Formats: sequence, structure tokens, C-alpha cells
Amino acid sequence: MIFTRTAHPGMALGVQTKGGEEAKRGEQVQNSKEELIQKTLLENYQSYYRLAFSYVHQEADAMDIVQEGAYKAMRKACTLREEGFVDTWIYRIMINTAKKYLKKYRRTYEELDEDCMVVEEESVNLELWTIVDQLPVKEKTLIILRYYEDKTLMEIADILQENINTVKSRLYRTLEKLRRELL
Amino acid sequence: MEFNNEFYELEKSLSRAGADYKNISVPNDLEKKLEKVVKRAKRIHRFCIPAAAAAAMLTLVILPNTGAGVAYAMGNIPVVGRIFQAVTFRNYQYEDGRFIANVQIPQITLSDIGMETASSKASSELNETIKQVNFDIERMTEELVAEFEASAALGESYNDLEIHHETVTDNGRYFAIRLFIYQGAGSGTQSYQIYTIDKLSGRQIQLKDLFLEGSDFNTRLSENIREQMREAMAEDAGKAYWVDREENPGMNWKGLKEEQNFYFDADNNLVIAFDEYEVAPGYMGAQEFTVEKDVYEDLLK
Repeated sequence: MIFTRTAHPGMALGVQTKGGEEAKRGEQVQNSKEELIQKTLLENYQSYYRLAFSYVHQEADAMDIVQEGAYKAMRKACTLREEGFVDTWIYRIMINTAKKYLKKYRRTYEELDEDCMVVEEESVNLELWTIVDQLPVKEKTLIILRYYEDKTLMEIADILQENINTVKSRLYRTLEKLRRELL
Repeated sequence: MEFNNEFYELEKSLSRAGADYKNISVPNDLEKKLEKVVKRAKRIHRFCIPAAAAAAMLTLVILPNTGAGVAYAMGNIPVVGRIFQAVTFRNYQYEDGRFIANVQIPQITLSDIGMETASSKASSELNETIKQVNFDIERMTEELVAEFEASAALGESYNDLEIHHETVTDNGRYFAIRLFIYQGAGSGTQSYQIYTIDKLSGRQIQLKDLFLEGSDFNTRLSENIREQMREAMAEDAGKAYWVDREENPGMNWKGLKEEQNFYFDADNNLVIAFDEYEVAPGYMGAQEFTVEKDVYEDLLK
């Protein structure tokens, strides 16, 4: 099917061939995907926020990231293929958004890291969490998803769009590194 | 546990340390803000075709150059003078599941109707300027299309490209065309590109060309815009701009750039356009602020 359209792209897409029926059905699918994404966002936003916070260590910025990720997820509803993977799909968008933030404001964050990253509270595991928190973003993400958010390796592979073996070996290396640091 | 007993103790401690991670407190108002964001996102109708209807298609249409005679006949404009027009001279559409492009590439045309074509210095300058602007538009848009095609060919992630144009100013003195560009590679960015031409001098102008030399128009305009940002945020808690941020102040908007995009609205007020991320977090999209004439009038050339 070929059509040319010169209308404003912000307007609803008028498919004027026999694709009209398909388009209508497509719209229903689209709406149900939007509903699902909305529901998942509002159920799991705390997890997305914590992950974002562990990247940027700033409340306002972490809020921005989650809001932006939510906005993108809603607008990209049509690219969600497998509804069963909605959670990992949103995680992926959130992580990409957070990384974009880090990249854009690297200098600001580096300055911040030097002067105001002070941890005050005392707790048995705080030391371990502090070490995890200081890992490079890639490794930190792995640990958070696996041990704090209880994701399976399969789910993590889907979130990061990596091969499961790559995920597994990276996790192995990260654990080795942590063990060395703890000794 | 993933690695048998090798990391047993460590994995156990990591799971326990999850309590500290979960201690990261989540702001109370985040849920409300998210509801607003979701609502806003729903209002924008995304152009999204069901996979079944989306047989790969690629159409490149070269539209006839709308010459003076045609413009005159079609618009039936009873005027004598110089007509500026932005016409779509190339239309590019691509649709293949995850890859969607809808691109309109404009050109500015100039026609003298009912009068002798002037041959003054300003006039030849104007022709040069229009040629240059058209060249810039073409080069920039073709680059974006090429980038899009390359990623579609590789099937990398998902990608949208939307470009459309609008004549935003056409008064006695100025002509401005605005290109809206949405590039959705991974996370997606929105931006504006505005070309503003001074009909009198025949030149493409920057913001500073409007104002008296040495005048601090930047502070005047920026302060007004900051004030508008504060008002907007006070009115609607769902809005955010990078102004007065105490934590991470390095992120605050620092004022207008030399090549800031601008045009004039129908009442001749100045409109300043910002790309996504320039003055606000990404979910706010690209932004425009109108600064009323009387704010800056005394600084004009």
C-alpha cells in the first residue's frame, strides 16, 4: 500500500484506502497499550524513581527523568510490541533517559560528586550500598535490577537489550570486583 | 542466586543492602506530576500506523516549484509588490513498522507582482540571502533524512523523523520561516530552526541585529522570560523550567544565545523559541515565549 500525505503530521492519520478498518482496529490496540503503560507507570514509579536517583543523586533531576521517561513511554506506545514486557520496556526508556541526562550534564554532576556526596546515616549494609552506588553506571544498574528489584537475568537482558550471556558475565565480573573492594 | 556458592555471601549481603536502596525516599508529589505528564502525552496525537497497514513504503515527491504566476493565479491576490512564500518543494515519507518519517522540505520563493523587478543593492542582497537560506535548509534536512535512512537500513532501535514548516512572520519588515524538527532516535528530541529575514536590508538577521549596539537586550529579555517561567510554574505544578533551581544550580538557564531562534507574532511582539532541553526538562518539549513589545522597545535600533 502506498499513499502520500501532505497533511500536518500532528493530525490524525487518515488512511483512505481499505486500510481504514485496520487503522481503526489499530487505534483500539493503541489505546489499550496506552492504558497498560499508564497503569504500569503509576504502579512502579517508585522503582523508576529510585533507579534514576541512584544515577543523578538529585531529587529534582530524578523527578525530571521519571516524568520525561513517562512522557516518552506514553508517546511511544505504538512501539511496545509485547504487552507482557511492558515493565522491562519502561525500564529501558527510563535508563536511556537517565543516561542522556548524565551525558548532557556530565560536568555539573562531576562537580557535584566532588563536594556534596556525603552519606550521613549509619546502618549495617550502608557500606555495601555506598560501594554499589559508586560503581560505574552499567555495573550499578545490573546490581540494582538483580538484587534490589529482583529482576531475572532474562528480564535484565531485555531491559538492557543485551544477550543474556553478556549480562551474566558482566554480573560475574561486577561481583568479583565488589568482593575485592570489600576485602 | 546465579553463581552457586561462589558469591553466596556477597549475594546475600547485596539483597540485604536492598533495604538501604529502598530507603531512597520518593517525593510525595511525584505521582500527581506523573498523572499530569501522562495526560499531556495522551493529548498529543502520535502518528502511528498499525503494523498490518504498514507495508514498507517510500515516496519521494518533487512538487512543482510554485512560481510567481502560479502563486498569483491560485491565491488570486490583488496586490502589487513583493510576495514571500515558503513552499514545500520536497516531500519525503517512509513507513516501516518502527521507522517512520514524514518530512516536508521547504524553499522560500520571492516574486514581484505587478511591478518591475527592482534591481537595487538591497534587492540583489535579498536574492542572495534567500538562496543561502534555501541552501541551508536543504543541506540540514537532507542530512537528517540521510541519517534516518542509514539507521532504518541497519534496523537499529526505533526511529522517527518529522520535519514540517510554517511561515511565522510575514509583515512589512520581516519574513520568518520556522522548521519544526522531531528526531526520535532512542529517546527523541524536538527542535526548532527559524530563519528570519529583514526585507529592508535583504539580510538574514540575528537577535542582536534588532537592538542598539551596546544595549543589554539579553538581560532585559531573559529576565522577562524567567519571570514568565516562574509564573507558569506557580500556576501549574506540572510545569518545570530551569530557573531558580537551588540544588544543581549549574543547570539553570543562563540567558539567550547569540544564534537564538526568534520571530515576530501578528502583533509584532518578539517570540523566542527554545529547543527541547534548552530551558526545561525534556518532557516539556520545545518551548516558545512571547516578549511584549513594550519590554524592549526602547532598546530597538
